[in-house]
Formats: sequence, structure tokens, C-alpha cells
Amino acid sequence: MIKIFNFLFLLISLSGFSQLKDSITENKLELGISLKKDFYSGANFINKSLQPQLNYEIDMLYNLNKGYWVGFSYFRNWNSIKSTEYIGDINNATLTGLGIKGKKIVPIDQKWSFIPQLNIGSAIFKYSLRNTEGNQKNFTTDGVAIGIESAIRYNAQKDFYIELVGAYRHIFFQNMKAPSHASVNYYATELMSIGTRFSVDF
Amino acid sequence: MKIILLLLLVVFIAISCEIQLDGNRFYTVQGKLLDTTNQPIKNHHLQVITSKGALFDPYERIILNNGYTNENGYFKIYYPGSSHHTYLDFEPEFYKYDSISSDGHVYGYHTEIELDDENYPENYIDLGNLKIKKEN
Repeated sequence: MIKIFNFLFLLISLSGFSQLKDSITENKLELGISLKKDFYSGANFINKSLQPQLNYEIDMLYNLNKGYWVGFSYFRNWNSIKSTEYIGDINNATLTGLGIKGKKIVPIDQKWSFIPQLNIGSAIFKYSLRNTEGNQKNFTTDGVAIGIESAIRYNAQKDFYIELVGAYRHIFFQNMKAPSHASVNYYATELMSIGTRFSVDF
Repeated sequence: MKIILLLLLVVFIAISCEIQLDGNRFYTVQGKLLDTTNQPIKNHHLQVITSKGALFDPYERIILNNGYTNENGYFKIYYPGSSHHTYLDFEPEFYKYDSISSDGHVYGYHTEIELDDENYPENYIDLGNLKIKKEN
């Protein structure tokens, strides 16, 4: 959590610094951090087993001009255990994702913009349980996440932005092998998020 | 030097033989628990366990998941895959038996049932009716 606040502080500081540069130069890079609340949905083993808590996402995007940006993003969330029935006797679970994203900034007026986005990448659920010695044993479920996202952006300072973000990700577990008689789906899950993104342009 | 090499070999074997769990494989085991009079046993605790232990290979045991029988004696337990021996365990004082003679003698004791996955390619294991008896 301290790391996140340090990162936010860095963003705001960089925003102040970026105002010193020549205002004619077009910004080419954007650095952002999002804090979101996640929700799983669907009759799948992830939704039946895990209750997501805080999610943070860090991204860096490159300006392709005409309002189009592309780049990389990394996200991670923490989960509490809702039920162990379908997943095993775990005591901890996290979701980590790494992918590429693209977005289009559509100005509404001088201060406000609408931003539709697409993203695709890896998604890895990592679980822990304890062995007889009390040591944590980790194992993972690997997936591919395809997502859409939209945001309303407010230009708080010259190159510093605050966004209200809503996101949907469909995560496919393409390597999964599970019984066909299972009463829940082991091959996909859905992740929805809502939160705030802070970003600074350079 | 030879002793160091031997020690390194032992450490390597111990590490390489660690139990690896697999979140990309899940299994179901189900069945029905009956007592010696063919009556269903309800609310009975069961565990799916994976373990290892051999020469130069420290013992390790992991409970993959827990389950209970319902009112009719049925149970269904989901668990992740393991690189090592996996089995269904009754509570310690119970055992399964395969048959019972007219004089009450019990044959074919099992304190656990093997669930090793090469026998179950569909990741689905139906053990049917299991008669268990409390140890005397």
C-alpha cells in the first residue's frame, strides 16, 4: 500500500515537473496508476471461491497521434477466500496480469474527455496452501485476458489527469483440464472493475 | 570433495522431488459412505491428501481439500492436481473394507483410497458405495 502512495506522489511530482517544459511540444508518453474494486461474475470456480479486494494497475502508453495511444499494463489484485469447495484448501490467492492496451482519447470539452480502451494479455491466479511443516505451497492457474474499458477523464492540472474507470475482462483458462461433470465452469471467468486512474503525460 | 558432491546431490534430489500442485488440472471424487448395516453415514469428514517421502526425500503431506457426507451419505470433493501420490482419507480411526464374512470377519482393509490420476483420464472419479467401519 505504501508503494502505491509513493507511486502516486511520484506521479504528482512528475506532473509539476512536466509543466516546466516547452508547452508547444506534444506529449508522447503517459504514465498511469489505477486503484480499483474488482468483482468476479459467472458460474465459475473463481467466482464461487474468491472475493476480490483491492486492485492496482500500472500502465505506460505511447502517443500515436490523433488521440490514439498504445502501451503496456500490469495489474494485480488480492482476494479473500469465499469458499474452498471448488478450488482446494487454499488460504491465499492473487491475480496478476500483464498485457498490451490501446485507447482513443475523445475530447468532450477543454477539461473533460471520454476514453474507450481495449486490452489483451496474460492473467495468472496464484494460490497458496500449507503443508504439514506449515510451509506455503504455491500453484497457479494460467489464462488469457481480453478486456474492454472506458473512462471519463478530467484534466486536473496541465499534464495531470484523473479518471473514473470501468473495466470488463474475460479470462480464458486455455490450459485447464477439469471434469466435464463439474457443477461449475473451470474454463473461464469474468472480472469487472470500477475505480480511479491517475495519470501524467510527458 | 566427494562428500560435498554427495550432499549437493541429496539437496538436488530433495528439491526436485518436491510436491508440485497444478492449478490447471482439477479433479472430482464422489461416492457414498455406508456403515456395516448398509445405512448411510452422514456428516462424515473426508480429506483428499497428497504426500511424498522416501530415502533422501523428506516427508511432506498436503491436504488438497476437505469434504463431508450429506444426509444420504453422499460426498463430492473437488481438488487440484498433484505431481505425487494422491488419496482419499477417512478420519484416522476409520477404514474401508471390501467384504465381510458371515462370522463378521472383515477382509480387504483400506485406510485410504488411491486417486492417482493415470487411472482417471476424465478427471472424474466415482467410487460408488464405500462401506467403512470404526476401528475397534
